Amino acid sequence: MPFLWSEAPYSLDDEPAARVMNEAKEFGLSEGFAVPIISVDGAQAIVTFGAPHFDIPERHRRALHVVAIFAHTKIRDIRKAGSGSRSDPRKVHLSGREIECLRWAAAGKTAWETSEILDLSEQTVVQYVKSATRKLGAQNKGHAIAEAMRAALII
Amino acid sequence: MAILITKQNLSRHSDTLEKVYRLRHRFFVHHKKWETLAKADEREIDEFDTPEAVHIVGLDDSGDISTYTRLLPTTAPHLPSDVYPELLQGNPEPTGPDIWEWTRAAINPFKRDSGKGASRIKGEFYAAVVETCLHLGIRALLVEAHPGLITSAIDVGFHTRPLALPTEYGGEPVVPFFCEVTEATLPRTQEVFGLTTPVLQVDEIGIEAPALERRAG
Repeated sequence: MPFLWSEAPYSLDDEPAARVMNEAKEFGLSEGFAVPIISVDGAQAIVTFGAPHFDIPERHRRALHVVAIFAHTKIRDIRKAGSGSRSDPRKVHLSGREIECLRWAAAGKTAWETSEILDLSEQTVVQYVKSATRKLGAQNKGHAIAEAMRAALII
Repeated sequence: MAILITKQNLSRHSDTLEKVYRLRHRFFVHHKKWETLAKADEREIDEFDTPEAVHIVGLDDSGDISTYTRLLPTTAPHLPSDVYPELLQGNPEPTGPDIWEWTRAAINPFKRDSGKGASRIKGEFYAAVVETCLHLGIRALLVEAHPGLITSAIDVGFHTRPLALPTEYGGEPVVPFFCEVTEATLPRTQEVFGLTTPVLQVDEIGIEAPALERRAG
């Protein structure tokens, strides 16, 4: 059921919640309206509308509810279509070690530093990064990190 | 698997239909709390349960009813025309021999699969409806339900659009919407739920298509 932001109180001690609401205010979004969406496979999403001031008649809120439903479907379709554009990340399978090496590279570690952390030889780490880069269809390590993040293989 | 009860095979399935009316009472009156449907004899049957109605009954391996839903022709009295015209808020209602109203959707809560993900029972329920449309030449379905079910309709592959803004009925938002069956619908339903075979058992009877009959006659 849709709800107003003001109807979802949060404790100021709840840091993540407080941060989201304060950042929203910095963008002039003091009030808002949120529409939860549940897909047929159980996946949950929320479409939210923010404004400096949110005071619209019930009839318009109901229209927003319907708009939110169709907007969510459209966004979901676009995301699905987009992820198939380059090296279809849905089909990319990186091994656990490949993911680990990319993660440390994403944190700024050199191959040697990563080899120390993971207790592998430097050459092995280089190989894992190379194979991950190839699987992701990337040009180099930096590109591989970006592609892996886009595919949500690393965060 | 699912069977269709239509005027063609009504006499053969009178026992099942009795079970249907009792399940409808348990589900809609006791489980969903739709008090206005309550009947003293615990059989939820209304003025639209004529021989023209099509009942889609999902059965589990032990022959118990796991899901149920009812389709009504829009060329005869049905809910938006007769009971809740205000739902359409003055907008035109699409009707025709190939447009049917989709009503009384029930998935037996005690038969639901546990766990997350797309449940098989729910999948067979939706697939049975889509297959019924294809068998009976139904082009589109008219629904009045909670807006959240628009997402479900889109998810399972219907080309869906709202017919009016949601209004409130019995404390819940209700919206009329239109679900078109396209060539992409059944493959999509099957893909979402991982189904590989048809759900509807149509070989036992020669299913005449009431919609096609009406067009010819």
